[in-house]
Amino acid sequence: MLSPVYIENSLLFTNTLVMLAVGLTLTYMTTKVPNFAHGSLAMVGAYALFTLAAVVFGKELASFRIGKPLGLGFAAAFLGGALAGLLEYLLVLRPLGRRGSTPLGLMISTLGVDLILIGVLNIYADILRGMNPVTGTARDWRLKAYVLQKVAGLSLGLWLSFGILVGSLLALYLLLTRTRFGIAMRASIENPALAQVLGVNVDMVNMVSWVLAGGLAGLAGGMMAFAERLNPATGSIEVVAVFAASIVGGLNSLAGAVVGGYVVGLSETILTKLVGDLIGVDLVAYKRAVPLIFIIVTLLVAPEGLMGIEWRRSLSRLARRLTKTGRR
Amino acid sequence: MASLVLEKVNAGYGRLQILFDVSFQVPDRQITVVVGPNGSGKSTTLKAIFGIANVYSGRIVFDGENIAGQPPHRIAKKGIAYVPQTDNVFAKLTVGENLKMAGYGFPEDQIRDRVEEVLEMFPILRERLGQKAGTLSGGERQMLAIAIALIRRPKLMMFDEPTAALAPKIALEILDIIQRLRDEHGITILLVEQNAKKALEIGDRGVLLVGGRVAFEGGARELLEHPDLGRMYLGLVAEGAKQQH
Repeated sequence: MLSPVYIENSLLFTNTLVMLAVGLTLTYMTTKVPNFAHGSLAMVGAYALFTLAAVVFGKELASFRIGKPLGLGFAAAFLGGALAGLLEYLLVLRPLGRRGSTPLGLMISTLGVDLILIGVLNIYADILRGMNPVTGTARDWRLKAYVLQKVAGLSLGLWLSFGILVGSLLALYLLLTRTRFGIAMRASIENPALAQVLGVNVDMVNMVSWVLAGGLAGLAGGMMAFAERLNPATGSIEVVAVFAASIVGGLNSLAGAVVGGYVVGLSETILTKLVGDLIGVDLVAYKRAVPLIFIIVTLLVAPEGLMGIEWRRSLSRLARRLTKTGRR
Repeated sequence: MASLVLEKVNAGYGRLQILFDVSFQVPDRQITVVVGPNGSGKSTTLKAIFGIANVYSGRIVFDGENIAGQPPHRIAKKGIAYVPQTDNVFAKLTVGENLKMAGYGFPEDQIRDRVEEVLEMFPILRERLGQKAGTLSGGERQMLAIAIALIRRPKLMMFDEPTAALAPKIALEILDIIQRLRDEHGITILLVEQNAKKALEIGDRGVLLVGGRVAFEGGARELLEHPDLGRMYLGLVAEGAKQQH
């Protein structure tokens, strides 16, 4: 039986995963680079929030209450992640791309960026730890107060998590469908050569996509602080689940990233607990294997992801096969 | 007066050079046809002009400005439109969205007027406005590609094998449209075509490229009727056949 706390924590984790998967998919769609540093971009955002709250406002994170500091904290998280994403694109990916680096080379370079970010964040966390008691938790912190406080039966953290996620996705949707830049971005994603021919600065579009993805990752980093205790490497550990979410949904679909995020996130948390309870084995201890299983199965069975499947054709084919089998 | 002049252009992709000292002129309000065997550099010429291929040296002068080496999004704003051979529409967007996208950078009211103008030219597209461009027939897709280029009211339109893979009847329709662009709208045309005969019949000027070099430049009819055309295609007749008019 799932406890309400367990379900809430699962949803908190899953919402974060969805946010991260959307950003990862956005950069893959525009530049075709799988960004292994995406989890660490989230940590940059998380530590930007921590810095604003603990250093600037001097608030103890364990008793951190809602108000201006949290709003500004998430704004800092977005900006921190966005800046990190921009620097990754300008300093690493664009120069390598212009020198003719292969997609594999670009992918490996993001691994390097991930390691650099983890190192820098570790150094920064150590500096913060030594500053004062408020910042002393820099290597192990969480926005626990928001999880403990209840509103209409659910934790405040969960409400905020959903609010930030829905708000961000809505803003992204409006940007992509209602603004001229958004249409240019969609055109660049679909046919960058033709978009250039029509006067779109595709390099600028790519750069903005990395800024947006970094910003969304930064917000996810802040949301992650509702769900679990954070240290500089937390984002990097979760990156496998983020990739699984994007791959399951379809690496070329933002809607797929949302669907994939919920499928993988809820499977990793709620499904493992339910199945484990059913068979009497503690599967939750092995939940980290769930994203890997999803990646392997998806690549074997439907490499284009859930959104790449032609459902109507596949279901009618299945129906025909079942009918034939029934007749025999 | 020449709308576009190429002067000793050397271009290619990365380290692979395709064009060698290519020089020719594209007169204003005329159709200049570039023909040649496969791999002769016809498409690369258009891509070099539009900034998609690398220009190593030489000048490409349009309206008095050297545009060699400028990025495509800047060249698009100078009044040059390029209709690629393939991937020339946004397949996942509707016809209406394609036309709207074509007006990127222009004010909304101007885009509306221009979309209306091209729909007058291509009534079939009006019937397909809500349809995804990827589901259009080959001829309709080519018309949409031309319409996309026309939205921007270019001074120079460059076509890369617009009749490729089209049925003969549709191919003739497309070439007819290109003629009308010159005659009715005064647009300068640079046309790369595999179907040399048909293209030279509608053209004013002809350029023959062989092995990345200009083997002939002159009147289109003159090129069509040249006794050595076949041998020039094979590269058997080189400098002696090159003429400048």
